[in-house]
Amino acid sequence: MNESAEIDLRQKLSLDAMACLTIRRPDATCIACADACPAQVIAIDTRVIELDHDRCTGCARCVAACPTGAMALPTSLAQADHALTLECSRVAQADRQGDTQTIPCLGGVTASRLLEHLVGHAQVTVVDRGWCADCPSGGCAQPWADAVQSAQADLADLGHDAGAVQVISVPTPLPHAHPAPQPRRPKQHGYSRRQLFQRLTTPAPAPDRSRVSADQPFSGKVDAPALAHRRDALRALHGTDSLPAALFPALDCTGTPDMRLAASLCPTHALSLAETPDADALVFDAALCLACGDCTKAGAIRLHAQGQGRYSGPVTLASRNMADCPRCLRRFAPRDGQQICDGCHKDNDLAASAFGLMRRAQVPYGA
Amino acid sequence: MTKWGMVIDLDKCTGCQACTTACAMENNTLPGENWQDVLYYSEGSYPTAKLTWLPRPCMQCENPSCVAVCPTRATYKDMDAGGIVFVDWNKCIGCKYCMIACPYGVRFYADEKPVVEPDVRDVFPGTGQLHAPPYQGPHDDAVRGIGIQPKGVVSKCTFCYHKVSQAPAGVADLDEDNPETKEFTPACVRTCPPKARYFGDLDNPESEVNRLIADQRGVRLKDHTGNRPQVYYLGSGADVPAYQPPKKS
Repeated sequence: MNESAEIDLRQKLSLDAMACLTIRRPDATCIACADACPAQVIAIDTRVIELDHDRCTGCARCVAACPTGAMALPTSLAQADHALTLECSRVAQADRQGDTQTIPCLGGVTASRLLEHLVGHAQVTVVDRGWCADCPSGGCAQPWADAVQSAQADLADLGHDAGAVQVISVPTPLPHAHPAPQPRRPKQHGYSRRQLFQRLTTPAPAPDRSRVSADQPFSGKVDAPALAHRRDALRALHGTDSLPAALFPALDCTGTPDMRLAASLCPTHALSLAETPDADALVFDAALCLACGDCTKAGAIRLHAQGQGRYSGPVTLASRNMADCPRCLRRFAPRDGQQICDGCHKDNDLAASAFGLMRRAQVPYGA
Repeated sequence: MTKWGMVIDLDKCTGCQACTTACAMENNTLPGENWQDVLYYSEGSYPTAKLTWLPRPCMQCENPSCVAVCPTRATYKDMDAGGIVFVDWNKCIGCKYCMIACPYGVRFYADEKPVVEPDVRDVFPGTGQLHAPPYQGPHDDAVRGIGIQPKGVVSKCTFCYHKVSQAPAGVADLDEDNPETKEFTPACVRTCPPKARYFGDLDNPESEVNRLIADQRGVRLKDHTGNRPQVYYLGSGADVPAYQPPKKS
């Protein structure tokens, strides 16, 4: 019974506001964490996310669902060694499959975690006990399915054996299990007589909630630790820095896009504008791409679900010659032979026309 | 009806930029936004090079091309306010169409907030409904683009409407030398050291600006665009171009 205390609910769910798309970007509509949460812990408001720690069961499924890796739950990271078998922590010691690592919920594991486990091991096994649908942390039959499928797809793209991540089904009767993790303070509907009088004499404990928002919204790019983590895990597994590009989304240019716009539309660091004195370049790092498609709004950019060839780091998508206007010192993209920027040209033109008027020979009255 | 107009005498102008500075201080413009500017213009090359300058406020055109292109009707010409063209900061979306449409280049957009100056609102935080907290001038009016400029909008010269609108009705000229109208004169006119600028009612036949335009043959810049500015320029040789009959082909 006491073994189930492995889930230490004092370790609170935390959210890194700087990595959260919904908080940082005015146009983001990401609700992946709230969708994944089986206990309705996460409430998303306009650029504010409210976490209700009282109801959290510590399953970490939001951590696995977050596309950028903004959520963190310390217990989900606890990891003694890279074990070969992942088990739900409700499984009693006697029922476990030998050398196992238990995690609060099998749905809380991410694909990059599975790949990380594979480094130095031949196989990683997820044990399906057949009770997830009835568990308050689970809520669906196979909460790990997304992570396992994604890891298997990555392995196939890498040319490794996709069966290295496998799920085995060992149905165990529910009475054998430890009790399901309960929220610390479940929502109460009504009070017993004793509870009612207790409430009258002792003040109700304050709800344990935290509101997360960024000090400065829209300030630049969102960090995406999950994407960098996945890239590193793939590289570690593959042994080289050069990976098949099919693992990542890809962009291609059909013309010259508005590079500044494309770079600022990208929510992560996938697209960035590299400024050198002579040219601007649009640099694309496929590994950090969320495949959101926002950059296609800048025109002349197409998004593909999978790349072709090899990925070994950021590449230049497009570039354009730039120059500093000698008069206003602003950078501008010169057309052929253009010396000063359009604004300065307009000023010059205005002054030239004014002095043209001033210097013309006077027309006598009545002419 | 009043139609405010300005006359700038290029023979008197020394290019000192005092008007530019006065405008920036009067209107709290952002760095890089010179609602009133003196353009330096050089022509020719080495042995015969010549530097001249041209003061350039908003021309407050009678037929403004910026108004026609505005997709949100944020910029408008207010005939009840002396024909001044305003930007409604509540409606402006910062698309900059008007900046491209303006033939005179007198509309401004700053991407960044001021970097040098602190935000006045942080230095003097107002609590509650102060009548006029330090950051909020008594004549603040976002609908006319007067006051502290929000981020992401286009701004332009308002002919110092917050001053001009206080002038007594029916006045012909706003002259800084006349103690009765001194306070209502636009900042650039009031500050001009050589008195190269005149401000008055173009619809009043008795006004000094009308007399100057008639006597010294004031011209409007880029008249071929059909914008018909309410700002006239004087200078030796300034003249309405002679009528040239179209060539018969």
